[in-house]
Amino acid sequence: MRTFITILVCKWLRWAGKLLGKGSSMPGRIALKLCPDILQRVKLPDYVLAVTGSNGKTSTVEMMAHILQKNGFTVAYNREGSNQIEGVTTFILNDCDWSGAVRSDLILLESDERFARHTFRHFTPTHYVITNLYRDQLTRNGHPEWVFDILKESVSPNTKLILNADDPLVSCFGIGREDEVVWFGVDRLPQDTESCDSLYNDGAYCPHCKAPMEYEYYHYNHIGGYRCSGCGHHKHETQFTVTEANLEQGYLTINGENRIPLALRSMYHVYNLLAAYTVASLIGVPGDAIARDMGNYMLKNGRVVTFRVGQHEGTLLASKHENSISYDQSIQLAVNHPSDCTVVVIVDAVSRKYFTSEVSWLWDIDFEKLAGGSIKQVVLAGRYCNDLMVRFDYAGVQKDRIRVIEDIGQAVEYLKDNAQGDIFVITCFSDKEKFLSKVEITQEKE
Amino acid sequence: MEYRILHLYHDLMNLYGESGNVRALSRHLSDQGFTVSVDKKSVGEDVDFSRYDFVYIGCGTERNQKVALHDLLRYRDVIAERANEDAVFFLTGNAFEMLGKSITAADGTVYPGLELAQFEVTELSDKRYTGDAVCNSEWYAKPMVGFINKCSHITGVEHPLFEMKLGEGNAPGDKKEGYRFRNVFGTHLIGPVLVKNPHFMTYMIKLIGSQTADDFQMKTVNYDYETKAYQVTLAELMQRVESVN
Repeated sequence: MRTFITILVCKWLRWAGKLLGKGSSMPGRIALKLCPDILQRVKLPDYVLAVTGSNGKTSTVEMMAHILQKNGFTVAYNREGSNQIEGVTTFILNDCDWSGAVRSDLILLESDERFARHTFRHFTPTHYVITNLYRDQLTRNGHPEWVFDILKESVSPNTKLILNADDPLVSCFGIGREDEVVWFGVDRLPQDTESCDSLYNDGAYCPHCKAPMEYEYYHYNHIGGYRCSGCGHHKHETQFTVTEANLEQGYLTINGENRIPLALRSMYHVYNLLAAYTVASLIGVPGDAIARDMGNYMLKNGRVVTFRVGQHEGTLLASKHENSISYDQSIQLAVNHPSDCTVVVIVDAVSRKYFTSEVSWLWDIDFEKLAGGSIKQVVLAGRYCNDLMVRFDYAGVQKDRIRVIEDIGQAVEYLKDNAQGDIFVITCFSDKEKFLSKVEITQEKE
Repeated sequence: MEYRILHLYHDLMNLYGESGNVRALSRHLSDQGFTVSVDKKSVGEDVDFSRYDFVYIGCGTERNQKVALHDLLRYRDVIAERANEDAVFFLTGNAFEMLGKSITAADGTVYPGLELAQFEVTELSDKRYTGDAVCNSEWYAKPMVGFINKCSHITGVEHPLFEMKLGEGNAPGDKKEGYRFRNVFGTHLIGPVLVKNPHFMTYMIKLIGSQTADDFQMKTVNYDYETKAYQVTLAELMQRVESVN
């Protein structure tokens, strides 16, 4: 009876909340007050899939949902990105029938790294994907090892771990349970490097024993093929493997047989797609069906937006402030551009969720890559444009190629008349609308 | 004038873009006419501290800090000797915790420190202090800006470096932050502190200059963007200070 009433209240509050345009966490919060163990009382489906990690959660979950739905599964998931326990409770109860059973075949969850331990006290995911652990929002997260320790509390012995074998820290979740872990990863690629190509190397020392780590190859930053010179911690053999990834021609091949054309040609996308492929395969979707559904798949989460300013075509690459690897990936996309271009970097609000003036992370980003090549001009904008300029002064970009324009509107006006070639805008979700609202959007590519 | 900088544990203690400190210091010293050399050294490498005028160590994870400390202990005496000879040591984040008597990790393990100072460090397992910081110093009129990101309490610091206006001090209820002994500067401010605080950079340059020549006169160099960046952040943070008080 209590279960029934709690579900009823939650559904009603969600319905009323939607009418009023309210968020999704309040109904769940009230449901948990009425019945703190409500998530243990409801009947969960056979598959409860969770995805966590620093980067790529939203994209991976979106692609997983797409594949599974295309292949006949009904999926309940937190598409609104409310990944704390209250939001999770709301969407799960909303999907329940009156007997307290989840209607969908699957629950799919994007889980915040720091909150997963609270959520998974209530129930255990059957499949748990951990994508990567990077320097991400360190003003809240401390550092990757701190997040690792917190995240570890969310991993139950009863869950099937699905881990990125190419990330040495993520691989540590598999220590002691190597045989039951499903490993995914990317084989050595022609474009890999033998030394670390970025400004810092979080894989320099083994995360398990701290002896120096040896890398056979780096895909990017500290992601690659590694073996510890001390304890032997190493990249595991992968069951789901990108055997070929050609970013220039825009395709990848998984397990040597399923070739998938890429709408977005970045290594980020390669990993997210591989993670989605892995989970869908484990649920029983055939590889060729996944390849068909993922071919040229355009994400819908607004990460890449194309626009026009004056005579110039532009692409906005939503990156994450306080996340140097995300910036590095966007910079790489601009550097790979075959013709002359202008790069705009905007840091106006460091976060949209909380206040901080912390910009140390600018010194972890490989802006050095923007010196020369096809990058003819750099425009720095937003409240922290001076910090950007100081950083660029050390990056080896010629000073006369850089313009510092604090006001984003004025920066757009400047670009109309003065940009050289195509434009790439690198900024965060917190700042992107400040730019996009002033230009003509041509396509919301992803 | 030659000036030799040692960037110690550059690949281990470098969590928050802290290589910026060494990059900016050598640039500013070059601007003053110094011939600057920077050596990067790490765990297991032999270091001759007598060769260096300036030693920098940045912030690391709690585990990396223990690796660095274990490596550094073999130099305990020579570090004390160099400190007493007025060599400059600049340690940001948890690097400066190594200078004390001991660090007690969250699991209770006690790691002996370099014992240059008598303070004691206690790490916490579940609590992390993260937040923007503004602090004053006795030796410079302008406030410092920065960020604190730590999970420890430090007690028994005899000579702190700063007085916090915003952000955590060495321990709960203690507004004093950091540690100073002669030219040894330790602070839990993280990241490129010298870039974010142009006046602190100037202070360092003058200190270094006075060590190399009695009549050292600082040349005027235009660092407009550094200054503007500092002013923007200070204004943002002062609003914060006022709303907190």
